[in-house]
Amino acid sequence: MKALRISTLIVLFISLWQFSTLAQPAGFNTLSDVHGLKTALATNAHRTKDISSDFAQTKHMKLLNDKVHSKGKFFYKQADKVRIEYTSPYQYLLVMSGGMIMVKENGKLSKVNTRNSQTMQAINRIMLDCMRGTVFENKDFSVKASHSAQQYLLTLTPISNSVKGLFKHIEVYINKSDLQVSKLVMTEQGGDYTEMNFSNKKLNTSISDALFSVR
Amino acid sequence: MRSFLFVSGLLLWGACAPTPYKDLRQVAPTEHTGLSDRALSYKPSFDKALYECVVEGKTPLGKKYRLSGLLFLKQFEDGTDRVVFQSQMGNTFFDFGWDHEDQFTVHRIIAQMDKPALIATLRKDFELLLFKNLPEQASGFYTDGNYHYLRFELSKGFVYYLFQNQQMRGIENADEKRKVVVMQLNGTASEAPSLASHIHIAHLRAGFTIRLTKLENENSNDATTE
Repeated sequence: MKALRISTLIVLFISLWQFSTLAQPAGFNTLSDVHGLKTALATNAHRTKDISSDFAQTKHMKLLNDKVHSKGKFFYKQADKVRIEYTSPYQYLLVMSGGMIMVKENGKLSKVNTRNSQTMQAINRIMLDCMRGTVFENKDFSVKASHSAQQYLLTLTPISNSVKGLFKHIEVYINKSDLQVSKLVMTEQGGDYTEMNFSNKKLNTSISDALFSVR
Repeated sequence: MRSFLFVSGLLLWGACAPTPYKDLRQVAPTEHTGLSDRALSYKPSFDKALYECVVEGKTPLGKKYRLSGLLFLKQFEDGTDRVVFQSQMGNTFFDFGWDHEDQFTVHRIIAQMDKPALIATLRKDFELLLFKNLPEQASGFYTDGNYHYLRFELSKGFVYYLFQNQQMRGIENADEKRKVVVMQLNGTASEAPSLASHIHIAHLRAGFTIRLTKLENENSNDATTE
């Protein structure tokens, strides 16, 4: 009986160990100095006046075993301006500035009511948090930090009901070399996920305010 | 007396009100070279297709709304179909599926769209476009001199598929009193049943429209998907 109990405990321990290993992407380990990372991100965000970069987006549809690709340009300017411009295969412009979200498509401009667009609100909040180094302060998510040799990984799990229905979790990959976000992975409850890879990044090039004014 | 005259006038107007398709002339199928009366022969065949989708309308209180995104359609070898509507940023609005016997399933839908009437409306749109849950055989051929009309009876009302030079140009769902849904199709391939590259769906009763524009590039129809 005692031997059975011990073997049960061993099986349970191995299962839990395997589960905890699977929950963390390969090559990443839990980060012990989270406070150090928070400070470094905040300092870096203070130095980053603006960012311009290309992005490639891929929506992975698990059950359909298929993907949808798109790409465009991304701009950020301190402290709350974001421009996401899809250029292929469709034209879609989203600008966030001073708490307003504006969308332009096929030449038509519309202001988005963020109260009715929780998805857009949540994604844009995440974008801004990533740029401003305030991911840990986002009250909609709990944040777990891990790291590999080259990157930090922040795994955001929804805690507020408004965001729980939208995402299973969001992963933010940050380069250790420059503390800039290199990839965002937004996973939906059903398992489908959208990956945004940022490339050709340029910092502090004094980008114009006009980019964040849509007419 | 006044109210009697008013009610009589209304009844008279109702009796004389034009019913849709009253001017159509029924013709024998033989007059329609190349047009089959079998639903299966029009079922579009494709691997997958990606559309830019814009929904516009007015609420019952008259407030305008607009929603845009991407509509992804996929046919599987086992006869199942999926239609997924997602935002440009990737979030799924809904994911509908039909099995090989055309049994419908909602795989996923966001809370804001999870309304039985809306699901039924969208389901009917896609079933009309994809020739699902239709009778095997048409109930008649008609013409107005410009288009040929192929009619299928539905559990409620009927649907006409409109052809011009053997190419499908439109789909109209109606009852005996009025049209309910009018679809305009442009850019359909002539050699085999396919999905149109431009689809405009007007919901006349519900007061909203859906505009679909196929996304393609020079390499292949499905270059944006894999």
